[in-house]
Amino acid sequence: MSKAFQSGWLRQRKHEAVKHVSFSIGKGETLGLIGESGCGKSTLSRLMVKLLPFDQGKLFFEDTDITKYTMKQLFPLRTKMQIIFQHPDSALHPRQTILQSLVEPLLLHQITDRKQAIERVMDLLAPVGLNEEILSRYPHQVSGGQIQRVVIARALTLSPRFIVLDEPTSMLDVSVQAQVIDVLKTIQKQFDLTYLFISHDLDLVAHVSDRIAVMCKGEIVELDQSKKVLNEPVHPYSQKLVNAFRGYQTNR
Amino acid sequence: MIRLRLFLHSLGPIGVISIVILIVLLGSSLLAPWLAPYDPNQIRMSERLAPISGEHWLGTDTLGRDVFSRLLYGGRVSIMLALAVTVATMLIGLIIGTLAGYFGGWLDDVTQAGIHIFQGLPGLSFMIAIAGTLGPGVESMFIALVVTSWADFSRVVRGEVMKIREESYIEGIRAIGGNHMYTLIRYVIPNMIGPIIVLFTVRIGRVILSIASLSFLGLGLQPPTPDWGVMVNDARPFFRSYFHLILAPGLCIALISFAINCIGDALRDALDTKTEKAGWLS
Ligand SMILES: Nc1ncnc2c1ncn2[C@@H]1O[C@H](COP(=O)(O)OP(=O)(O)O)[C@@H](O)[C@H]1O
Ligand SMILES: [Mg+2]
Repeated sequence: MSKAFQSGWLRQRKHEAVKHVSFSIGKGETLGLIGESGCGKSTLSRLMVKLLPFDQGKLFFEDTDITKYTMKQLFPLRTKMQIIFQHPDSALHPRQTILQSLVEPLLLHQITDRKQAIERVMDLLAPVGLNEEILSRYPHQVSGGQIQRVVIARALTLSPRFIVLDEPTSMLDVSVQAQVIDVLKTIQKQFDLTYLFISHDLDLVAHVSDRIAVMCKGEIVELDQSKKVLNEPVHPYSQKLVNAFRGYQTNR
Repeated sequence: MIRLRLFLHSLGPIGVISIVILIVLLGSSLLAPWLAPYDPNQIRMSERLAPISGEHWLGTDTLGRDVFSRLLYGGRVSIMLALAVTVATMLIGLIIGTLAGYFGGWLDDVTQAGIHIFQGLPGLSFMIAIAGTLGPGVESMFIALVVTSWADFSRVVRGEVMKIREESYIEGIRAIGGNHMYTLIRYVIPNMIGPIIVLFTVRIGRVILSIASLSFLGLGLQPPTPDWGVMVNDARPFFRSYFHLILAPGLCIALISFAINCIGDALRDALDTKTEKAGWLS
């Protein structure tokens, strides 16, 4: 698939953010997507969950061609694919309590009534490592790490099968980052989830991914098993990335 | 009760003083029929330009009408009109600004062009032109004021919406399945309530000033309506010897627009969720 942003009114400028990218993610797998910032990772992630329309290409979800799906057709599918963003400080409605944000997806999709929704939310607090006391607070009274846990729980309420994680921990302290990654790994096993894990941090991607895709200037230049990419990178850009990572490791 | 105290505290001293001034002015306008010692329009030629006394607290004007009574009545029409104008402006601005800011694209281009044109109009002169064409009166003032202020309101709303649109929680609710309608009503509008309240307040103050200016120029409310702007105009020929005749209504206009403006400023801080001051909200 491809995506170009057009800007300018009289003289149109075209910026190809994602160029002819093609890949698939297996069930239960974690595909890591790495690349320097501005290379199109976030754009690609929005395309995959149809938050942005794309120019060319096809998109399949569990063998269904959803390329031409309208917003209405997508609505039931929204429960099955979720996305988690980078910025915890603006991830939740500032004027809703954490509980209101957590029950909202279930009520929006009319899956349960409010009482059952609250029960479901309660059941999800432990897996993401939160306790009840947080539910009555507002986002500005909660730390970044906790917000990301809330956002993860919010996605889980809908029992998704596929979650895009767009640099979910890049804004967090290193120690908190490790805890959130642990939560992600635990729930992946528990709920049988498929991940697209995006990061600019090779260390992190190597730690969580089964396969790694290397993205450079809108293109995926290499996609292989994690070990393979780390040990025998083929593309010059991947080699540069891995060498930088190695240098960093030996310096430690 | 605690919430009210927190709220007043968050407004700061100037905010609270302004609220008191506003309550006094609004209250006396509202209760004018009961508070006024005389009929504001009753002419007594024998008592023309009477000085300040126990009988006439602020003296009488050139037609022998009791100035204090006229002062009590003098805010009623302009305040009501200012409210009506600002509500209408807000509805138009909210709809246009929200749609343009949220959807962007050609809709935004078109509305932006409109906003630029209307903002470029010289406000008071344009109001004078409209009021002059349609003839002076409440209706033409309403039209003139709405026509000259919707663009400003739309522009501010559009800016707020564009800021909110970039927040992650908007993409978040879209990804969960909220449609545009849901997103606009549940996410966009509630998150700009603060700026809208502030804008609304500041606007009312400015519209009151515009109404007074128009009435002063003879293009707004017409004599014998007891109105602050009209009173200032009526007193103009005598202001050298009877300065209080111009001072009293002038002070009312200044006080009310000043108080409303300060309240707007105080609310700006009090409603900002990112500061400590907004503790009363949650
Ligand atoms: N809405 C947009 N309009 C125009 N250009 C955009 C838009 N979003 C992203 N881009 C551009 O597309 C490129 C890729 O951005 P992004 O996908 O956010 O990269 P990454 O997530 O890898 O940092 C950048 O050059 C960015 O400037
Ligand atoms: Mg990004």
